[in-house]
Amino acid sequence: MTTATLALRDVVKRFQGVVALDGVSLEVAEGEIVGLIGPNGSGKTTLLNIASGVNRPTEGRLVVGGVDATGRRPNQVAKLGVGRTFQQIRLFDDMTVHDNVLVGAVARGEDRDHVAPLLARLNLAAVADRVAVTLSYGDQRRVEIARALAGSPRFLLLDEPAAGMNESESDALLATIQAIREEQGCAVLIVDHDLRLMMRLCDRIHVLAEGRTICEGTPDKVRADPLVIEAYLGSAGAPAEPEPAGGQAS
Amino acid sequence: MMVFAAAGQEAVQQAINALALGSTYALLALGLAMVFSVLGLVNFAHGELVAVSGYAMYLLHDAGLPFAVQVPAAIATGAIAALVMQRVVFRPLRGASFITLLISSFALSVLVQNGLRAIISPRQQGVPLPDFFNESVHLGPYVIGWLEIVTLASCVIALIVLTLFLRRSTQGLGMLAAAEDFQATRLMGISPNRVIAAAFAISGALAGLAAIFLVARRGTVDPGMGFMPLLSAFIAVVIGGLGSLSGAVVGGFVLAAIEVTLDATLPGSVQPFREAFALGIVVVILYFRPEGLLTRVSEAK
Repeated sequence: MTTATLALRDVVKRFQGVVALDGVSLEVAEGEIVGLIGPNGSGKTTLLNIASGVNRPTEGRLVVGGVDATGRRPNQVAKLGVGRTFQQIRLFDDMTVHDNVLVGAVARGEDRDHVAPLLARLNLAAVADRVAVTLSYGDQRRVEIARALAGSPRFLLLDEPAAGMNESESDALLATIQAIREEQGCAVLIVDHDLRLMMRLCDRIHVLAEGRTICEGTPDKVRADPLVIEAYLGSAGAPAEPEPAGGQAS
Repeated sequence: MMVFAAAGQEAVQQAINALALGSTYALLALGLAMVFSVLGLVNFAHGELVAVSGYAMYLLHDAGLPFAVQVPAAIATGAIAALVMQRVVFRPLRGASFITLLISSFALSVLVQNGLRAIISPRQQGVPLPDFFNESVHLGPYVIGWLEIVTLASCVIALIVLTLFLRRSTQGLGMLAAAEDFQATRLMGISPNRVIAAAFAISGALAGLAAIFLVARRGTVDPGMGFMPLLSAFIAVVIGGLGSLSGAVVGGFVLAAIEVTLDATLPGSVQPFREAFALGIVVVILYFRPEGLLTRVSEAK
């Protein structure tokens, strides 16, 4: 259990003097689903960028499966078993759904046969031959997840996978992510603003505000934390859902 | 009746000329687009790949080697020269700004041209090709030069092979994906160095192939011979949409069609201004399709 984690240790990230992350530590173990929430600009995407090698931490370390990956390039971090999706969908627009996922598979030396079951698992079999850009927003999000999974990652980073999805789509996404965890045993680190989804999906939730961890723990603990309520749930501009009630109902 | 027949015949022959010229432009434009799509670099030294491939043919011819040797040598020289350019000049500049890369490629272009001047000769050198290329074939009422036929056939075969490679092979799919979103493929574990090297090698091989037909048409090589083809290829890429591979091919054929049509229809007195008319039409195309013919109008995301 000790090596099968993706860990960020005391990570600091400054962009030309602006502090995006200020000493954040976070660990995701295999088979675990960890949520990352926080107001806009709290450093969530920066954290995923560091975990996938897009950005290099100013201070602190990235350790993937026991290997120090600090400062490694994105393709090298991917080879250690980190797959991700993007907040702004980044599919290969002119390629078919099937080929998008196939690129994800071959990039990591997986077989072509790997693709069809994944398309079926993510409910994309019917649109496999469509050109990616013609798909609906929700379908495109699922293609991104399939593409990331095609490389058989040990750690899957999802950046706002439910953005733009309606309630039933996000419920289906929840079931899919849980099934992926069961079947592939991979760890999931997920960023999303859909708190209804996050509270039900995640084993643990990590709350960031202004680049610092303000709370970490089970959804119940996070929901009850006064700092979280003040910084996030209770602040102006927070999601208008009846948050705790919605969460308890599930 | 006779006039109509003659006009029809003329049109068919012009169309074949346009296709042959267009396919040469397409090869060059595709190479430019390929490197641009993975590196964000408009390689103005691309024309010099044509030149060095042409000189390889010249040197081999001088050494008494037959055309059958010169052809693969030209293609290989283009590919190797492109790989050397990328390793020596562009790789150390990875991550540099667009302008830095652009200026560097201009510098490289000047360097290679002057290298050819200093080492070989500033003057034109003759590269006689097999007589075969000067002959024509009579198909019904049409007289078609073998050069045009071979050019068109070779370029079309090259484009088909390349398309099959890109669409069917796993390596090719990675390239195609990288051409669409380089950063995303890196995040999936594809090595950028490999993709970039492959893009240069392919662009160089295509330039080498184009060089064979350009040399065949001119019968000579000279140090600056790559510049005009490069300019045409660049215009083709812009017409098709910068960064779009299929756009580059379409752009090449569109540009050739414009040039050949003007060639055939403009009265003799304005022929010297042919280029100005051609570029004028390009400006009109870009006025209506500023992002190129094959680039999707970016949707609001």
